Amino acid sequence: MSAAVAADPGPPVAEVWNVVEAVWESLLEAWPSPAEPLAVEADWLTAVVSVDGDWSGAVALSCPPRTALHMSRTMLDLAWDDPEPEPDDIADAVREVVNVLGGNVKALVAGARALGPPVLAVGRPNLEGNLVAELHVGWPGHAARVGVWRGHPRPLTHTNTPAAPPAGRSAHSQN
Amino acid sequence: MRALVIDDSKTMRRIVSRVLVGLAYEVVEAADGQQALDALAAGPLPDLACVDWNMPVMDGLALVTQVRANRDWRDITLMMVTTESEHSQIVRALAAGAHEYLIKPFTAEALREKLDLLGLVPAPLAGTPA
Amino acid sequence: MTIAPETFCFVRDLVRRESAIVLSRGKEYLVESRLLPVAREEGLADIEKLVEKVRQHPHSPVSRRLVEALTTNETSWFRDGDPFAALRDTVVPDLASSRRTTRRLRIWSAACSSGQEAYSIAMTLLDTPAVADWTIEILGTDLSSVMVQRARQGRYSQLEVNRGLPASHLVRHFERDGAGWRVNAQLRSMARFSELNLMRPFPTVGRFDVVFLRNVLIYFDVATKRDILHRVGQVLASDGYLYLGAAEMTMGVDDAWERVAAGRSSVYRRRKDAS
Repeated sequence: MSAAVAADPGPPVAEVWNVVEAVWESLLEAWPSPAEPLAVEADWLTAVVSVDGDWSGAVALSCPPRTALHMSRTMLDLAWDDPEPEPDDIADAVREVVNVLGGNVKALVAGARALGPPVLAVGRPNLEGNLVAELHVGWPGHAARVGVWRGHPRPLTHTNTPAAPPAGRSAHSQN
Repeated sequence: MRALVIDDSKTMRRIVSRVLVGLAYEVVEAADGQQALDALAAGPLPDLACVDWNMPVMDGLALVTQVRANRDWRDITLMMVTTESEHSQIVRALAAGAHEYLIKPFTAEALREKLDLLGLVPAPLAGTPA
Repeated sequence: MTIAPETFCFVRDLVRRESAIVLSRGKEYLVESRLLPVAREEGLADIEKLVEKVRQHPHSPVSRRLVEALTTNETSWFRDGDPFAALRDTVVPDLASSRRTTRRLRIWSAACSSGQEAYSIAMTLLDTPAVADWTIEILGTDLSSVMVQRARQGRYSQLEVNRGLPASHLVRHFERDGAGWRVNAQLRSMARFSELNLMRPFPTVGRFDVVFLRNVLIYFDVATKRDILHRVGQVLASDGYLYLGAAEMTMGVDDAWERVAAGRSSVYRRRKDAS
């Protein structure tokens, strides 16, 4: 492991914001901005993708269930009268968002080479290592947290779908 | 025109398919490289394959290599659609025989423009804002 | 600060008319964040004042700047495709045949925005064997100092480099730059950028072999179009080429030009008998 790679602390927060902006604008049709920090609640969904190579770590995306539902609806381009997405679809959508975030964050860090498969769990991210970047992301009616960890992430005790379906409240926001 | 969309994310397959269906493509989906090979062996050949990189069982780079090694499949246009975005990764994919490369995140417009570059837009893009 | 609904509606309708891009409800703060810098550059206190000015001057450069500020990230590389193929296959080989002693080409991208057109021209010329080791000078100008600065930097987002740019060109001419990409040093050495207002007398720019004046005349009235075309003609070599936007033409505006067969592109040269 080269000295440069060993010394790379991780991606600059400003660049992670650039990644978030590109992902939100194209996949979620939203323009994100820094939000007030919110705690990750027990019913929030957390998707994690590991990064491996000379630099290793993880990228995590956490959001409330209604936001996960909204992400899925937006990405699947569902009309207001289409049936609600299944829990599997919602999980898939959130996993794909973290996959895209992860791949672009990986490109910011020297020595980061491989991306693991995205996994989903409920509640706070359960990761070892150092949190090297944390973003509180807001957009009309929604919020999410994006974190970048450096270290060897302990595998999550996870299931690939959430433990319970997200609350079925109609989240028919205007967006 | 026919397309094969290969991605382990159902959501992403839906996003890509939506654009292609809007351009009058018939779309078949596959969730990994092996399923894609099975689809190629089984059905009518597609004009276009959109290939994700990171997939279980067989990844996109391996799929591209296998497709390009098969003379019967030489007319299939291969476009990688992936979050892998390092300069060296794109070079690797093009060297393996991918014809184009679309980086995630992308907009529907960007995908249409890539298809236009490849001459794979069946109808003229009327009034497209560039 | 929240912009008034009528203001947003006006902006939305203008943008849709000029660019076919739809700003849906919920994009208000996009409008705010993009237009505030434009208002400041125009010396105006806020967006409401900017919109008022645009209402009063509907076909003016400030109207164009407003639209561009909201649609800039929609600009793609090799816009419309054909003009660049025509440059490589027809226009440059023709010009090259009469410049074999000087081995130099000067090209003006006269509404360069964030630089995609100028760099696309550069990439095209690097692909044109007839001028492989020639001196290429590309000048990109724009009314907006912000755009000129962006063009000079040559930095583009992940979304922007996906737009109409072949992957082979991306890897050949660009490097990763943080979350985005930057044109490489070779490309940057071929282009320089400066501010220029087409409506005013041009500063000394020298003579050009090709001028790209695409999709900018549409914002001016006929008299201004004629004036600009005339002044552009004065800085164009007598055998030089003028590119207009796909739907544009000189007919009815300035009869000093004749259309040239160059694929499907809107390319013109000055008539031999023109002044």
